[in-house]
Amino acid sequence: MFLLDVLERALTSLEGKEPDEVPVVLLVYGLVLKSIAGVSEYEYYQDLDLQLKAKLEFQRMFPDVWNVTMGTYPEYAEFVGPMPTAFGGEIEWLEDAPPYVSEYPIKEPEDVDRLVEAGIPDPRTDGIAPEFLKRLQYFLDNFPKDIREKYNYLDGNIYPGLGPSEGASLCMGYDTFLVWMRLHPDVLHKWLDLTTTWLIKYCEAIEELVGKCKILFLPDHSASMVGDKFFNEFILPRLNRIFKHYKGALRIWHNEGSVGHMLSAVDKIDAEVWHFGPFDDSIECKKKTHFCLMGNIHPPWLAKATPAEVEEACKELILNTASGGKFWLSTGGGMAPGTPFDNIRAMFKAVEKYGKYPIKR
Amino acid sequence: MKKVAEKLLKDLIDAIIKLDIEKATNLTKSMIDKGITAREIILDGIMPGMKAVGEMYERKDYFLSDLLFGAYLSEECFKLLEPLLAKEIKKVPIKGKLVIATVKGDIHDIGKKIFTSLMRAEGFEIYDLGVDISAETIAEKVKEIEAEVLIVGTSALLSTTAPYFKDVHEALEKAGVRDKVLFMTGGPPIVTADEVNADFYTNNAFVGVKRALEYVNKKKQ
Repeated sequence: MFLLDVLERALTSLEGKEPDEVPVVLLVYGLVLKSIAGVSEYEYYQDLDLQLKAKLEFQRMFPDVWNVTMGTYPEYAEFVGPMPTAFGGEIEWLEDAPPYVSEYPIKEPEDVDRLVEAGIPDPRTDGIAPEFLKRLQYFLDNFPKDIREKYNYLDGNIYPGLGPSEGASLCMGYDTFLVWMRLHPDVLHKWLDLTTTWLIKYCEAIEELVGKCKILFLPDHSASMVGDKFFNEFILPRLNRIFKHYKGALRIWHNEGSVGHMLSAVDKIDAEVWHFGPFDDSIECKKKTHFCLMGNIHPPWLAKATPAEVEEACKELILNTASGGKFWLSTGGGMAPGTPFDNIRAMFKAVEKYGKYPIKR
Repeated sequence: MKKVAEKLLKDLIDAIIKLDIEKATNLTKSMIDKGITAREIILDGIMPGMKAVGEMYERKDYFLSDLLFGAYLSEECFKLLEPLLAKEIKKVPIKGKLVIATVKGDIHDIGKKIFTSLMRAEGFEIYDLGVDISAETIAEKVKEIEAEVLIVGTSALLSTTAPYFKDVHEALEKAGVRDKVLFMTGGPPIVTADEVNADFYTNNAFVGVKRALEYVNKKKQ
């Protein structure tokens, strides 16, 4: 019963209503869970059963956390790998760090024409996406049904790795991507149209396994690298193409980079939740956008702060932002490696003391 | 002639600030044709232009895409000046030598590009080793060129490679140059300078440039 409350709390808050208390919604994955499994990051990514056990163990330790979508998905370079490898890039695995793109498929503008001519890669056969889909099927076959139902995990959850613009930039390097906005805007538009189409196709391949989309979790940090002109021209149309494709689902935009300079532009993103970062002011974000905010305790800080400091920071955040709902207490981005579990407990202590509705300062 | 040069240099600064690459490169070519020295073009045109772009970034009038384009644009101007520079090199005052690299296991280099362009604008000679570089290679280069400043970085996406900075410290010690170089680290705030035995950590390129300048100025006193 308690477990159902977590989800209900979050969904009530999402609608702009005040639940019994502030929900704690986190993003906890390999960087943190490898310590539960007691293995290196490389071993963690390779051993699917170990991943599943670590995720379930974390949930057992923190039954009132909603480890939303990305946190409970299988992990296999799924963040950076699917798009670059689908288009011919390569990734490299490291012993104790997440894998990275070691070979970009795009080096010159002509490469975009070549890839456009080659047609849209098939996520079921090209790059590492097929292997990831296999692992997703393994999770669907082995993730305990009761936990899945209580937290609404996996079923109808879509997380395709990095979004259309950031995925596109990982195929050529962030610097090249940003420079081409001025140097080769037409080429970049062509490339973004292709990556967005591929990403929708990939989402649909995931949907074939998990069922009709109920939650779409889409990380894309590229908005934080540009001003509103380039955001409106290059990034917003592609983000919204994907989000609109899944209208009716709960759509979460993950971007902990700062976009405080263009909140009115960001407000045009057609998603319900914004997982926002520690460098943007939560009061301003709430005032100037329509989103239910998920955030924004600074993850590296959380990894080093004392529980008393965490409690104090969460108190301030709750008192400033939680009134009227539309707020999920979380870290501003994914949980950082080395975060003491006592600091997660401190977040709950803050909710217990200051996060019961109605919120009183 | 002096007035013409002044006007062209002012126009170059203006073109860099407006991130007008065509105008900036045409002006650079035109100044070369008119016999203006590479030293003047760099010191009185490109450097103040890039400094202004950097200040606009700090004021949040410009964003990462603008700052990177400014760096790209100034690199294009530098390329045009390379043949001239080779002849004039001894006349250009060098404030210090910088070795810069992204650590092993990481290929991200946005921060490196920005820092490099700002340091160049301040008159540092740059030895950019690239990305995915071993601690030993970094230490060897510092020793070989007798660098005053070393900065190694990692990406926010690969925060777990940050502890590798410690290996760089050890390699510098082994090469006998640890106390001869300002060892700075850049990237996500995952590890402090103390934790990896560096002298200074920053995730802000401008702060890093100021620290490097303070260090070389103090060393020269």
